[in-house]
Amino acid sequence: MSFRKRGDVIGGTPISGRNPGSPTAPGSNPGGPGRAPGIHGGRQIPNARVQTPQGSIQGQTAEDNANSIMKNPGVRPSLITSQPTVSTGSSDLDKLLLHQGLPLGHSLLIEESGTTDFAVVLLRAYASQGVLHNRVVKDQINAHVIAVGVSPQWANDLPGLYKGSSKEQKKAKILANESKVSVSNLSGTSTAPRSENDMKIAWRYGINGGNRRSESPEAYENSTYEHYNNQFDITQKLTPGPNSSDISFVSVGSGLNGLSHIQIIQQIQSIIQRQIKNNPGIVIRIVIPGLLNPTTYSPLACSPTFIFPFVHALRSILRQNGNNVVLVASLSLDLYPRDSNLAHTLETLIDSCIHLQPFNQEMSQLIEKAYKNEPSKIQQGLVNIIKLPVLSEKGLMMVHEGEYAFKNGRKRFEIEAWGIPVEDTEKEEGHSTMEGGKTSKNIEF
Amino acid sequence: MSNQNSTVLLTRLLSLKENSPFLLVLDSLSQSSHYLIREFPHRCSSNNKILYLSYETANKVPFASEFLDCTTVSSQQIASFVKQHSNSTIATGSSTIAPSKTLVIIDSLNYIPNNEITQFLTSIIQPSIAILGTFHTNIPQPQSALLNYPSALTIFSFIASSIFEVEAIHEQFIDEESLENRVNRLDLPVNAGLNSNKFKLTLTNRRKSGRSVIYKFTIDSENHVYEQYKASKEEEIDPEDESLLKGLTTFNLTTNSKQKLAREQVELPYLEAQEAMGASGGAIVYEYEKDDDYDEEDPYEDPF
Amino acid sequence: MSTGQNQDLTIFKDNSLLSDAILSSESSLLSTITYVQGTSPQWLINSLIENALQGTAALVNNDLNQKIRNRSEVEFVSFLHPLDYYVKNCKKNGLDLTHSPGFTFIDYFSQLFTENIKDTTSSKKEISKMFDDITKKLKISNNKKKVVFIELPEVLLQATDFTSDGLLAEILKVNRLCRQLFIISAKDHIKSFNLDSSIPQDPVFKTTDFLVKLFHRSHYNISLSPLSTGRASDITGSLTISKGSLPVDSVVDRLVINEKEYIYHITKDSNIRLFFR
Repeated sequence: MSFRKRGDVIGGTPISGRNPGSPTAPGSNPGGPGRAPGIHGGRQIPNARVQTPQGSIQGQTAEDNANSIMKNPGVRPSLITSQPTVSTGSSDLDKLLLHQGLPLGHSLLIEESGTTDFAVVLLRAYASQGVLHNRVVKDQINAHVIAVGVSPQWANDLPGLYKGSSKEQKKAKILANESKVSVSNLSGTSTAPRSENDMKIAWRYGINGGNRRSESPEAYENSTYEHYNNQFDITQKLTPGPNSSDISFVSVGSGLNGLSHIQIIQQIQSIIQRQIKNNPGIVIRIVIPGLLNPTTYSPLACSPTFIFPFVHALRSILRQNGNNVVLVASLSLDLYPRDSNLAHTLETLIDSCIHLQPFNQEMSQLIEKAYKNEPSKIQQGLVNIIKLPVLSEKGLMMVHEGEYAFKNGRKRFEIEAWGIPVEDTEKEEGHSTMEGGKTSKNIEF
Repeated sequence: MSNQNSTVLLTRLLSLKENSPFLLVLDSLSQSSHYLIREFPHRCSSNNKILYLSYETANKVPFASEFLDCTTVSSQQIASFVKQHSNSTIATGSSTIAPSKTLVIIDSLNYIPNNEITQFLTSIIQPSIAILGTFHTNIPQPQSALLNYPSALTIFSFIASSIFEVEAIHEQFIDEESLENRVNRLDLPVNAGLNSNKFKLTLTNRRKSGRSVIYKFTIDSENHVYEQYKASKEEEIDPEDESLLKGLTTFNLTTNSKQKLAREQVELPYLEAQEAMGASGGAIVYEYEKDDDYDEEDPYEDPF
Repeated sequence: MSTGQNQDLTIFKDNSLLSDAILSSESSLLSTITYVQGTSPQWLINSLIENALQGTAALVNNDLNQKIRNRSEVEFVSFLHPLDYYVKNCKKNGLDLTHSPGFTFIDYFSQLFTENIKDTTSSKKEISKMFDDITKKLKISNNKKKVVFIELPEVLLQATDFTSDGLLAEILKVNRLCRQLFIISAKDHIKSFNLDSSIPQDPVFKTTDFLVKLFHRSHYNISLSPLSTGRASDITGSLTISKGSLPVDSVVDRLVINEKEYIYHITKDSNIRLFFR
């Protein structure tokens, strides 16, 4: 529903790039002259940046680059350092990283213990998020995904948008039918149910002028950076699927004929250069699912003389294109334990790292028993924080183990504070605060 | 050998008067050989020339007349350097005085590849020189490509005519085990007496017959005083010593001789039983009696 | 858990970080700055750069507040970060590294494995050339007061066939050309440092061999690690200043190391507080 309705944009011709002459605010949709006034009018962040004429692509300075990236609908300033940041596609993960996302020019490694693959859920949402940013305005490319070490089939399983619970979906359908005209007036926003919700909130703001502080700051932020992130439904496929301007694939060779690290890096670099040349404000999302998976990578790829230079060169690419590129990769700890020099190398070269640790059978049974009447509370494992972008490198101690747990829900990948549930007859659960995982009740096993 | 003689031997070795062609020093991250090495030039006479073969020393050493950076030359060049500088005899008034020994100090023997050790040593060894080399014992030992070939430490220890093992006299607050754990993590404790100019020395000297004698010393390299090593106070505490109990409180915690006698005559309970059961050492021995019912078919029955 | 007053960080008993006695001596000192995952030494490095260039250490020592122009020349070699990173982070220390003539940055990060070293299985020649460039740059000026930092040289050991003895020999050459050389390395137990490792090609073996040998050449060591008692919200970790295997007063008269263990706290804005343990 949301994708098909790409109504004609009234009064403006969106080009890939920017609309010269129209003032824009960071995070807002630059190509939308048809936007109904008053909705975002009062919400514009005072924009000190002057729109630079983007018509000519040659002669882009680094400063222009930095300026144009802030206008990308998928970018917002970090909550901590104000540097440009993009969503990982999972809002709880964004929160966990403290910046409310992954800062541009930085990388994230998702390690996973056991034979499950919860990490791929996060990686697919990350890729989908990029693709969705290309559907904010028709024919406007805001993001490009580079998938390394997977076949093009990988792109067929990207999750679609979460369209709300069945009740909400019915409501939204009715609304959509009723206000058909006004929906197509909006410049092809693909997140119709969400933006309608936001619209309602925004209207309330508009009417209540000075009451903005009474609403949570998150709602405020969301309405300004309304396209920053989306919620995904893993049971829904992204339709229509991504096309070649959304995603490229880089091979690492096959079987025993693995490519050298320089060959792979050069492939990635040329895609990046091409994309940035066409769209200086583009966000390029590199995704590496299952790094060093033996079914894809040559056995020689585990050699320190390949993997170290490869990841080191990726780090260099990220820094050199600090305004445009991010990277997320996943690693199986069953294959490459945290104690190994290989995992340690990756954790050193990659800017942030989380470790998904699914519960063992005993703990799973305990949890299922404790929450047998509330299946939505069942968590699948722990999320351990090992490193956070920018902060860990500065010297802050950001290791948090055993403090968070994850739930791979249909609606979204949830990460919340962890506390061992209490299994007593009164049905009271161990409540945990956001600071630590301490339970306030007696724990009986 | 008496205390006096052992110290004399040490001094003779340090001054090169005692014949010992290859003096091996073993040190570690908790105590470096630095101070011990400098006892040699201190004890040597001006007739002893000192050559310094450097693999890891950045600064020239004041006590050596010749300094060679071994990282930039081949082993043949090292051998010829030693030959060149050790044959020169010191001009003295009388021509009948035998040329004094040349001391060749090697700052670290760890850089010589395992399978080249004997080759290296034989290429520089001469009657007129004494080799003084340090081997750092914490450095990880590589698995040799040659099966059964002994490790570098084994080879050096085998060839050496004297072995000087230095250890830290570390403060009481840290015990051996935790010190080792911390060294394993490269997390050396501070203000703990490590790498000090006062340290413990275990000297193993091999006579011509091959027999070795071992002595332990406490070395004060600042004042150049060598004493026989005494175990730390802790090891010497007499369990009967009640001096610690005096003056702790107003109660009388000590025992007089009459009380001690009475105490010794007390019969402890279960002593007899301990002797009887001593054989099974406290293990629970089940004695199967006629009224007990043992089911042979039950797989969960207690095993004996 | 933070007890006591905020302390000033000193390395020597003359209350200095980088003592004048070292800079005006004829000797070459070597020191290690080692750390483990979780406690990056970035803030310390920035303060040492500041102290070397202009004598102050605004964020860690209030007494060292006399700015000295051109105190020493600093050459910074990094295998992990580009120049931008240091320019940005040293701003808080009151340094403008883009306009500091005494500061030279050698970027062995940005193109390390795409230009500098093309064949990681046969890297000796290329790495020797890299170090030749370092020594060449050091020989350019006649100023004897030089301080050199090499950040994460073990990258070369872990990613190529270069040997630890080879790396140590190159570092020795660099050391002889300056008054103070700082080597910054990680020493994560088992993952990169393990005294029981034995396979010569294993990156862990090479790194361990390198670090132990380095410690035997060091005059003093600075070590950062998380608290052994676990995470605390107001303490980041502990910092230890300890004597090295070589006594400092054998090369610089009467200079004494102030051996100490500090606990420190660093905030998101890089404000640092230090306490005695």
